[in-house]
Amino acid sequence: MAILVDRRDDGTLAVYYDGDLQFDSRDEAVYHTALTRPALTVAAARGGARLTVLVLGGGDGLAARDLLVSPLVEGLTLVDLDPAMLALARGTLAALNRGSLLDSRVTVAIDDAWRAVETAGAAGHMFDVIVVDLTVPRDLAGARFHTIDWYRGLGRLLGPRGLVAVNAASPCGRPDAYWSIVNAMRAAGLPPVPYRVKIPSFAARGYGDDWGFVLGSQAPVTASELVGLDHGGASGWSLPGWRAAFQFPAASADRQATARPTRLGGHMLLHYLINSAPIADATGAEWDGLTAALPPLPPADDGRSPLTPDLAAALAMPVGHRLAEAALFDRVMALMPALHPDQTRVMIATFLAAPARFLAGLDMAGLVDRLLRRAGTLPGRLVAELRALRRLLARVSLDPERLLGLGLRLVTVVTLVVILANLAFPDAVYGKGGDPGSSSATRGATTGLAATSRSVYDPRASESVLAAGSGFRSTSGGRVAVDEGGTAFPARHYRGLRSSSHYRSHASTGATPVAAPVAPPVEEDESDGVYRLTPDTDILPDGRVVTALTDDAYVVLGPQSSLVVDQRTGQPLLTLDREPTQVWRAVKEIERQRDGLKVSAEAKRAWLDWLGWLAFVPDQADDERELANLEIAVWRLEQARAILGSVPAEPPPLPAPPLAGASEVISGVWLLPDGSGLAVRRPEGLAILDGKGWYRDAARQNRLTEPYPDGFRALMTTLLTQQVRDRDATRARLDSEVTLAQEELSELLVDKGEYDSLAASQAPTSMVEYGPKEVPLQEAQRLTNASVTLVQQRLSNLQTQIARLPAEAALAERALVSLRP
Amino acid sequence: MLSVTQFDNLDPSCDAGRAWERLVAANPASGMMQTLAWATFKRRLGFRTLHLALYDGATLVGGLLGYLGPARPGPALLVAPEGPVLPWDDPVLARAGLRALVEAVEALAPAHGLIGLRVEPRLTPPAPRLLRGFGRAPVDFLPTETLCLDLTGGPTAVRRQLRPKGRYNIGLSVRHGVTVRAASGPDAQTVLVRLLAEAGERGDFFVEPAGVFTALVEALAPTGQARILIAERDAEPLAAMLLVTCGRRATYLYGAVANRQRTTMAGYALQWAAIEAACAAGCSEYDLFGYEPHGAPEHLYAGFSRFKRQFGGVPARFIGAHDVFLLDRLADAVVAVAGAGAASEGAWT
Repeated sequence: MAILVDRRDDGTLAVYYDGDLQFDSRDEAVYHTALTRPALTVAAARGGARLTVLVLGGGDGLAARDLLVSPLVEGLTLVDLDPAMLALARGTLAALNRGSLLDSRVTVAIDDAWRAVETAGAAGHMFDVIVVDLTVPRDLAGARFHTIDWYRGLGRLLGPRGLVAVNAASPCGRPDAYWSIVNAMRAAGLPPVPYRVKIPSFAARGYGDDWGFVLGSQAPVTASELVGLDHGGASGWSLPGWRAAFQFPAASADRQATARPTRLGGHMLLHYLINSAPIADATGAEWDGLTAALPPLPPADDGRSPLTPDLAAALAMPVGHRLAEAALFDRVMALMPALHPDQTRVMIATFLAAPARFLAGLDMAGLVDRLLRRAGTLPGRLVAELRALRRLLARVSLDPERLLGLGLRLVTVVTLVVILANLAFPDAVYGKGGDPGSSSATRGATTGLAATSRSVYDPRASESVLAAGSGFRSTSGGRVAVDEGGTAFPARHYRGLRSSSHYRSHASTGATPVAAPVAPPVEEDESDGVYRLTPDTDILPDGRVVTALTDDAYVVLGPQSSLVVDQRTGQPLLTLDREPTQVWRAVKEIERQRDGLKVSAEAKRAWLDWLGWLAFVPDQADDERELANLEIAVWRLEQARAILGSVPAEPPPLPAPPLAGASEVISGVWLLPDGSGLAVRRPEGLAILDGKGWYRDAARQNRLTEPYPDGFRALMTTLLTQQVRDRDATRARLDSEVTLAQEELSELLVDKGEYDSLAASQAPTSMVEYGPKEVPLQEAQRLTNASVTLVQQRLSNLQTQIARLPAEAALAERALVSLRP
Repeated sequence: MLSVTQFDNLDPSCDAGRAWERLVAANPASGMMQTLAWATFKRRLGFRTLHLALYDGATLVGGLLGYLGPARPGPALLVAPEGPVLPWDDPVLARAGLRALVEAVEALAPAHGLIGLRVEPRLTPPAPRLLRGFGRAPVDFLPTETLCLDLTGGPTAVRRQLRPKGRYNIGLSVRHGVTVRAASGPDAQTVLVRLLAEAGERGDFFVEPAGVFTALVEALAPTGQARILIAERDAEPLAAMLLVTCGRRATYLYGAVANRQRTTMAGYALQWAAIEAACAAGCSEYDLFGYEPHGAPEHLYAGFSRFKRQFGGVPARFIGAHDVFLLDRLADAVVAVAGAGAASEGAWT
């Protein structure tokens, strides 16, 4: 285990354990008071004149510090596995924990908590209070400390009126995990009282807006026993506030009815910790943990099923026709859980983007054969599918795509098994390796607004997201750009906008100014992109929308037209006519993100209101700044929305080429079908541009009188050159893949020839070498033929890709020639 | 006569441990991920290891260090990145060795829920014939395309390989007063993690959690296999990297530059210092670990490939990861999953 102490200049510090924040000295008092005070209070209310206390974990000595405050504590045994943490507690942290581990009432043991509890139970030791201050589990070994078996073990160390206080999880950040823990205590015969507080440093790390604990006792804890709750020495902790700590939003508490408690070996808690979706509004108080009736306990997870309940339910759907099975396959893919804390939804989605590749290395005929040997243990419908598949595979070799296309439940199950095995090896999703499923590991489809108006990008396909990143807490003003998720990026600087009278004229005609909630920070440079709308589009402090075209040029979107600007000089290059599709996309993207930010801001505002009772929370300023920044971002998006003017609800029709056969380079600029120049849509009308001049007609008889836009010509030359270069690189990559596939095919054909030759003289069952093994000759022939089919299919796909390489490459090259001065 | 011995957390200081490390270091198709220190690192992250050593009589001739993900119910893969370690240039012995290893894995599979073995030797394509029956894996752990510098002529020869821009930027960085120091303690780890996080946010790519780097450095630094290099100016860290060595190969495993003072070209000074350090450590090869050779601007490696290209070197390509499924174990797993899904049996019949 790796401990990292992050010391700050102001004397505060934070301790990380294997990368997870354990505590921040600025708010650890909130955590430790909440963990220890209710148990001590109830123990005292129950007449405990002398208390014996067991602390499991808590090697930092901070829980012990708060327990030892009580004069009732006669003895405290602390068990921690990590000598390094105990050494830290006795050294660096000694001032913070007030030397708690040196207190004469304290006994420290270095041991595994599970073993220590078993040993204590065997020895007949009993405790009045047990405090479980263990880290949040990241694996099954850690998850056993929240199983029914564990809490039963703790129950044996407590008298009927003894208490256990547990550090659990965030009720709103990981609601299913939190209620799974609560239910495990309940199933173990320790009626639980759930409660929660805000730990600002935890929230800042994304652990959840609230943090939950559970108090348990064989004799149920009553509200009256908690009347004496005090602040435990933490200044500013208001007594009425404790009541709020026992109240939960219904959206969180509802999970109690479904969150399965786990038995030893069960994996549902880990699944919940990794996959449970957070609840946006953590402020609700509809459910009261001290008074509410409890729903029936959901069944316990004993680890025997390798599937999550939702996946099992999906697979239990009746077998249907091919289209229904295809839909079920998609659903199974969508339900695929992360199996490791570091696997994000984006990773999983990327990982599953081409599911056929998981079957590429599989001898399906061989597997079908093995499964048919197990037919007695399989549902009848699957056996029927197996038989049909065996007949089919005897006739033809199917590549993975065609296998998936068969619409068989069996193939869905096999794919699921292989994917689960891959996901269970967490490196697989973020290894540095390439992606063999794609011959050119390129970034995903762009959501950039710089795409041509004819691209397939549709903002309606995306949902709003909550701002979970720390970007909105930043104090760095205009030096960073923040996106909708709260991720911060270095701000892009847009030269020339400050003096752009052209743009202002648009704004004055099209925009209805929106009142700012807070004045934008004065240190912001008005030409910095402060909000990242898409990877290539920023919103400026005043709401203007700017899209980067190249490193040297950008476009300012306006309601009536767009302005192309030279980034190096800040000089306008050309004005393009309004392109309705591009503006529509920008507006819809802005509206989508604005709505998401409004939800985030509303949740933050409500949270701050709820937080009022914890007046002493030190990091409230961070929350307030985050809220202010969210409101500013909403305001900027409102401004941007207003600037771009009204758009129809549905996307406008794609723009028709100004001349038949022309292809779009960027919105409003088209390559002529013969590559002899560009057609440019300007507010004043169409212009034809080549290296010699620009004209108002396609026949190039009438020259325009305005000065020739040489800067714009140079920009388009750059863009076209880039296109040609991109295609060259893609072609080179595909050619390289083709060469490799041909080499592989050539070797396989040699193998095939050798096996076929052997078949002329040997029995089909005679044993031959195949890879590291020896297999019957007919099996070697079958496997080799299948490999040949696969490689031929790959070659065919590559050649199709090469053939599909846009014909505009030659066109662009011709255009580059025609654009030469 | 070949035999397979299973080791449990082999001590690198014992005879068998030293023999294994020598074998890995000397095998060009293998590398750091087959070393005992790397196994220690992965175990600290919760992975489990299966170490199979292949003996010809009493002589160690090959084997594999396989990794399993953290324990959980359900199907699992045994993954041997940069493995198995085999005498690939002796196809007969390699074939017999691979067969013995696969059979050993098959025997261990039920206890670990294994449905397959993934191997990823650093072999150039096409895949050798003895890997027939292994299919291309859906993901690779190593970059299949990389850029390697030949260090055999020392820093002077490497400097001659540099592109002019690379040479210029190294000099520029020195003129800006950028210096590079090696370290591996907690402070250096913090610097590396911070800069990687900064680069991850800037470049919108995933950076492993801090605990990964801490565990990696703490496992590999004591054996001299890993060091952090930090480029700084006026004590401000501007770039950091993790350099790993195994045998005669040095690998630029992770690296990042700060958002601040980008014009100091600290990344160039850092890379050059790493190359010099690799030469001093007796390495003959410097692997820049991931490269896009065709200049495709949209490729995931495009950005850092432009940077790496400035150091010269030769592109290398490997066969990538290959899987062999243990069909009986896979069939068992399919039965288990189908059973879990067929709760309403009537619907399936």
